[in-house]
Amino acid sequence: MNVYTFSAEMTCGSCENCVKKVLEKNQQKGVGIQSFSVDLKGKKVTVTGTISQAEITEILNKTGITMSLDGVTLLA
Amino acid sequence: DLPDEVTLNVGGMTCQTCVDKIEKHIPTVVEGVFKIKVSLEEGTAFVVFKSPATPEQLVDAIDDMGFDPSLRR
Repeated sequence: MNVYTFSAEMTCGSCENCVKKVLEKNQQKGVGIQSFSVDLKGKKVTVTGTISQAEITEILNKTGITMSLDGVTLLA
Repeated sequence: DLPDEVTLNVGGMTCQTCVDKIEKHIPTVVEGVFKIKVSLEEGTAFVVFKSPATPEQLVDAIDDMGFDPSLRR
């Protein structure tokens, strides 16, 4: 179980909705997203789950929003 | 073969940034897109494309962006 934090160039409310919708859709698909939080003001996206770094990065990149991985912490 | 055209309904767009993002991003993820014009007012995307691009691919790519696309019947 990892916690991934990304900096995300979200510019307005609908960008935040886009990221939430994409993460929800993938969570339901069972790709290994346990929970997530999207902070528009802080331009941060945090994803917790068993999903691989490559896969979560690809999913977030597909939103067309510029994303960069800040860090990964392993949950015991 | 001749290029094809399709107009998609796109829900979830609220500002010009969304429009610019779709117009910029879709051609990079769907091969064969010649032209894409997104209208915020009408909530639509008009796309001129050739194979290998297909309407379904366009819907999936816009869906992957977090918007709500559908083919206009």
